[in-house]
Amino acid sequence: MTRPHRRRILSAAAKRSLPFLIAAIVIVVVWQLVVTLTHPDPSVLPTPWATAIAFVGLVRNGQLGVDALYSVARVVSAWLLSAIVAIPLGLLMGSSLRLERIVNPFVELLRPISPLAWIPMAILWFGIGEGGKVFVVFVGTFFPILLSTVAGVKAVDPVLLNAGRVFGCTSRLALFRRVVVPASLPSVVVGLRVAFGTGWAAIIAAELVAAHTGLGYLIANGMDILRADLVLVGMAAIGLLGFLFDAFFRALQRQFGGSS
Amino acid sequence: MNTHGPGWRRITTPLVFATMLLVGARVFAQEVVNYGVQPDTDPSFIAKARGYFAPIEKQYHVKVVFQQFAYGAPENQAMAAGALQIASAGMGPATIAVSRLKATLVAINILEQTAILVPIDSPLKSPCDLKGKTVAYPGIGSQQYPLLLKALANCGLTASDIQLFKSSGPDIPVLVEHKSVDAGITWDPSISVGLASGKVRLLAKAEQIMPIMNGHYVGNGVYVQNEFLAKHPDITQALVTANVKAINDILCDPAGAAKLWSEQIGIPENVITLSLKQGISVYSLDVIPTPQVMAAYTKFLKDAAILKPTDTPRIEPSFAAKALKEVEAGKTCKMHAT
Repeated sequence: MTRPHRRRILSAAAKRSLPFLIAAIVIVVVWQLVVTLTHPDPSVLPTPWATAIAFVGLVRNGQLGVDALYSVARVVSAWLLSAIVAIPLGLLMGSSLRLERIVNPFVELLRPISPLAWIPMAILWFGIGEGGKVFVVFVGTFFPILLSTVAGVKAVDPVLLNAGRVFGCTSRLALFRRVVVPASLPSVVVGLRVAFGTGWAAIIAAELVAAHTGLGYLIANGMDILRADLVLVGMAAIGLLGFLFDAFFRALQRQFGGSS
Repeated sequence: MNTHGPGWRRITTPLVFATMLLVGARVFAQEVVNYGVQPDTDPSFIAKARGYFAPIEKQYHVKVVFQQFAYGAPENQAMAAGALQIASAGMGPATIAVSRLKATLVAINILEQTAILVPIDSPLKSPCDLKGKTVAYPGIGSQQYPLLLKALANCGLTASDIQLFKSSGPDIPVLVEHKSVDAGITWDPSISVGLASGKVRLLAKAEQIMPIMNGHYVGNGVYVQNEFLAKHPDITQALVTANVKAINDILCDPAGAAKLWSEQIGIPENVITLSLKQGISVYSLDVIPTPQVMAAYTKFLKDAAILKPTDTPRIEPSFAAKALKEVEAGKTCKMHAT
């Protein structure tokens, strides 16, 4: 990579990040204004500065890193598990109307149930370890991946299918492997991106109950001991990690030719 | 030429009536005193059942309304939001509130109230045997968490030597009973509910872990919003006195108190009687939050990293002292009419 090329990439990244930086500054300014004008109890709303101090403190003693790592590990493992199950199933459902007719009623019955509603059952079935939390996130990430994959397969341009046949994909399997799967990838990546967001929301709820690590646990504990600064640190960490992961997926989407 | 006359009248007449109604409502409105409680054997339930709040309501033209919370953390959040004027909660949440919120501790109304439970056939003999075990607890904001840490520290153990499992207080005896966890620390009357089932037993009582008030652990405190305290010291005094009178009644007539509590909170009478007989919840006229007791308690919470080193709880022992004097002056045993 040449130096001007690298500079162009960095400049484009900086341009894309600028609106987010401005949004963050606006949030902090409004927050400080609210504190200055209303003088709330620090247990209700601490200043941005006090929250920043708590943030640095938790980074220094390693607690924030450990909690974030646990949350990310839970989300990533459940999300990967969802992808392993949902992408092949979605590809098959999108290609076979018969399979879609069989599976779809199950999907539509289970999909509206919030991952949070599964928490008590997850504790009963998987106990108090990691299994229950991963299961809750799995429920939250499975359906967005599945539905995006099905939609991706169904949206494959018939012109591409015909072109595939003309260029030698004589069997259904070859057409599926060489045309359908690559053509549906942008939609699959969208599903993976959306699912990561829902998984992130689900893990925070799962960690509010029956956990002793994770960002959800940090928030719950902060609430229990009236440390709004800890709650806000947890929220800020979630926002920051969510933003970073979303940026990663947007970059991935661009690689696969989808719009971000 | 009065084309606007009837139109104006149509607007102004209801406006005048509405203003009069509003002014009237403001003048005659009863002030509501929201009193935070938990469904446990709190003396305030006895005070309410015995009608000790009625004269206060009449004299000060207020309405005392009990607001119930499952545990101390949401109760404190309600106080932080300004929704409660007075509250009764476990000493942990109470001390957190008077350290972090604009609130002041005015009395101690229950001793003990915490114990570690194990299944009836558990081989564990003391908290020192908890190493490597799974222990259910009601969260870091409860007083049970620092007490568990203290119990472990007394044996040279730390939280990392056990597997903690956060659960709701009333669920903990059930988890212990079903052996989903090896042990559980919780509050009363959940402890007594578990003991009454015959399927769990005590591993340690709070007094064995941290005896800081006449051989007992301090279980529950009453705290008041500072603004309310400054505006209505007389009502605060009357409410504290009602609590102390109720404690005196409990000491005089435990059976009557058990019956009243059962009616108020729905816990079976035999469970409450068991709690009183076994000293799971202990009532005493030692209601004054003395600086010595509170200094020891604050250090305890700071050692557990629940309070920050800079946190200083606000305490006002004069209300409890005056209430105690009043109750002792006219001390009579009031038996519950059965």
